[in-house]
Amino acid sequence: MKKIRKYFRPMLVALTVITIIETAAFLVLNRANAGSQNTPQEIDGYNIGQVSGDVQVDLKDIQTHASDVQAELCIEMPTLDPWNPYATLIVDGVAIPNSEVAVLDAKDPKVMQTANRCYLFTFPLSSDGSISGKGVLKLDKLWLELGRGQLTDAVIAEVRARLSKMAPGVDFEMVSVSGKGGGGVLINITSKPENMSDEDVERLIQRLSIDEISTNWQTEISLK
Amino acid sequence: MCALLIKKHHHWEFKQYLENTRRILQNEEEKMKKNLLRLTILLRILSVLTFTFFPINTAFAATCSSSSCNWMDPSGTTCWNDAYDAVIHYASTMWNINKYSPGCIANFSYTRNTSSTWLAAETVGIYTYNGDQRYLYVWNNMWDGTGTICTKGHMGSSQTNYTVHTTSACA
Repeated sequence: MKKIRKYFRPMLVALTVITIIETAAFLVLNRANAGSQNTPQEIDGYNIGQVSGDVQVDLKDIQTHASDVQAELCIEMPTLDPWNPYATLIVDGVAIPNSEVAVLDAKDPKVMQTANRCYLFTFPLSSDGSISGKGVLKLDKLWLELGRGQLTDAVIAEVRARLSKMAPGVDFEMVSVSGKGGGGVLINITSKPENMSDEDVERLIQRLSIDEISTNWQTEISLK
Repeated sequence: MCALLIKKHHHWEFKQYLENTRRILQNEEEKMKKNLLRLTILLRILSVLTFTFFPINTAFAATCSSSSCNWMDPSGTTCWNDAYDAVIHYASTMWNINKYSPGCIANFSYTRNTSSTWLAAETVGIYTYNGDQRYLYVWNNMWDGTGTICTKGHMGSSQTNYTVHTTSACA
């Protein structure tokens, strides 16, 4: 009985401390990330380099809502190609990837005729939406689907050329099915090294069909 | 007297020469005018035929425009060739793109994953294409892009049994 009394107080303190740490960790993680299977994963492309002198970005607006943070950025693209930006919001050391990216004035016929384009980024928050303080908005990369998202013969030739450098021994065929109210494209792997699974090869082919330019732009923002 | 006659004769010969030359030139001019007229008519016919059967920008003409694109598969059309990503929504390893073609004034839904799986591309309130096998990416038919069009993407373990969804991407 005496021993229990002796250790009761330290155990209670330790338990309380552990509970506080766990609660804090849960809140931080849950706030930054919904934790569902819908949590977006980063787009992974073939790095074709970095913008010299970094990309010009103008933060136009930032708004904090109950369920998300929205940021409006105008970005000077490296070419007139339809590049897509990919950004993350870092809060309390946790990176929240953008779940939505929309071109502003998307249907303006001139929107893609200029390299300076404006986008609305959405970063999802958990249901409590109790985000405040400071965060870092980071433009991670610009990515471009070769063939505007179609695995055309030209795209396949480019992917094969990249494959020969990165994973010799991998080859594939592309099968396209269309005219059924839409369509789809699948990849038939015709050869691969023994240490690579079909999924690894598919991920690699997928990655090599996307150009990626990494950027260093980031800015500190205030979240209210 | 004889010299005067010779002079007159020479004068007459010179006048004849001038008259002949004038006639020749007149004939040539008429011929040229006729030829020019023929050439003009020929060129006109050629231009009419050319513009009738090979209108300007044939190679770049849009496959369809706005409502005439409804239910049309974008694959192999000019619409996909100029389409850009108006809105992208991400969920898990999948992303759905609301693609917009400014040439065709039409939208379509495009869903892609990092590896082949069961995917669907939806145009909200219009039509969903459910992939009939595992695909790396799927798309659906186009719809008139004059107004706002929303798209969604779905992914799952079998056809129509989807567990991952993107929210409405509107443009």
